[in-house]
Amino acid sequence: MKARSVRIWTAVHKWTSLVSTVFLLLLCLTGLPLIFHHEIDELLGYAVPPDPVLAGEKATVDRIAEAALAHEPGKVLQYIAWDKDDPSAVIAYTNVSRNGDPDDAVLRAFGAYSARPLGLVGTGPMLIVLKLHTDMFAGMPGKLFLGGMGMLLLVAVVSGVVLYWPFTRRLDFGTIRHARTRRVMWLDWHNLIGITTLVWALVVGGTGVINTWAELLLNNWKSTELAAMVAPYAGKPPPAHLASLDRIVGNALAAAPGMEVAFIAFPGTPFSSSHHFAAFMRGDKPLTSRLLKPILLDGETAAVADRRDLPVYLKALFVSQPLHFGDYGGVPLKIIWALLDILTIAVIASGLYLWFAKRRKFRRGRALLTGNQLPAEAR
Amino acid sequence: MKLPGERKSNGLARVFRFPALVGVLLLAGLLSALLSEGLGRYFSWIALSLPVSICLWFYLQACSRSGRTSSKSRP
Repeated sequence: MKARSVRIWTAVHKWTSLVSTVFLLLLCLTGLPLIFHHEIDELLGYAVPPDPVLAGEKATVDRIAEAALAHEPGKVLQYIAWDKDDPSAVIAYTNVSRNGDPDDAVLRAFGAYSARPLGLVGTGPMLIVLKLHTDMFAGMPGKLFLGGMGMLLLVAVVSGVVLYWPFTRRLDFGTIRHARTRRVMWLDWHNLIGITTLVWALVVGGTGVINTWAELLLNNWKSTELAAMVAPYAGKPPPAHLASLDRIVGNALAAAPGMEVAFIAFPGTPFSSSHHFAAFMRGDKPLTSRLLKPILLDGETAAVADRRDLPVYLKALFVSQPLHFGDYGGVPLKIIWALLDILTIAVIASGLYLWFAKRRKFRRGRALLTGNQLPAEAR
Repeated sequence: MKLPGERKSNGLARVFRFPALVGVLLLAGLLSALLSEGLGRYFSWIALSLPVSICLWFYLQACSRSGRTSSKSRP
């Protein structure tokens, strides 16, 4: 590699890293507890307790809906969701109106057997950590900004790989030059940790960036695919009386054999038409459980009106989510996720240290290295 | 001057063969837990803990080496 191209890649690596460092550290530090948010919620007492009744027949969906409305007088139901990991809980979303602001929604879990209220979902201190991690309390602009920082991370990682060769070509893999200056030792650690965690950093960074576009992708789907699904029923008024929710669920299950209902959206909510229920179905495998399949059902008769697969970009979004969260391989995977996150923090921190140390070195005027640029950079 | 652990420049293939192997195993580990709940999970745990094991291995090696040299250099 020519000295000139090394200089260019070094500049790319330096500036993409420097600009994003503070935010990447924020993301890594807030991401660490988020890996264990289920466990932390449980520990702090914010987890939903299990249904006291765990036997006999499951409560009807209509009964759960009734119970949910009784707890939030004057509100309407937006969604009813079934937790994949906890079959004993059904989560009801109530809001001031069918298309109310998501921030105003109340999520309350009910026992799948008893239909008794179990507690509110998504409260507690981890919500603050989550907001810091996703948008820094700055809404959509904050989200897209962090997405941009994520893209800088990807460029920094790729440029780091390019620079790995000129910086380590005289060394065996994993050589740490402890006997040399502290800067050289940390350069070796930076290179070793960086290159071994490379693929994980790219995948978690890349899927994180995709996740920042989740709302945009969903909005696009709603305005194109969902709009096309409901277009034939454009003139239809909102249903005068709603069909039985158990019939909605039953017909949806019959229309998608081998799948279960992830959630149903009520007519008039952002995930359906003004006249239809939408049932979002999921498979039972780790991968297929992420690929939701929407079914549109008539709000009055519960008859299936339309069904189709999600477009590729939404599939990509839903598959990318577990790859970002690390929640798809049991507790051991979560622990490994945390260790890899800590290694990434070490790469970021050592990179920052190297930048400071190099500046100091040049300032003191001790850098009298002349001649070949490469060894000077590497030592 | 040639220092211990340093050598003449290695080729691209030599420098990247280990990182590439680790990368491929990591990618396989990331996908295996997504595609299979049984064996895939166990494989992903082993594959994804590779970076941690590698860094720990070289850390312990460096520790033991510096321990040896410091005891040798003692008068």
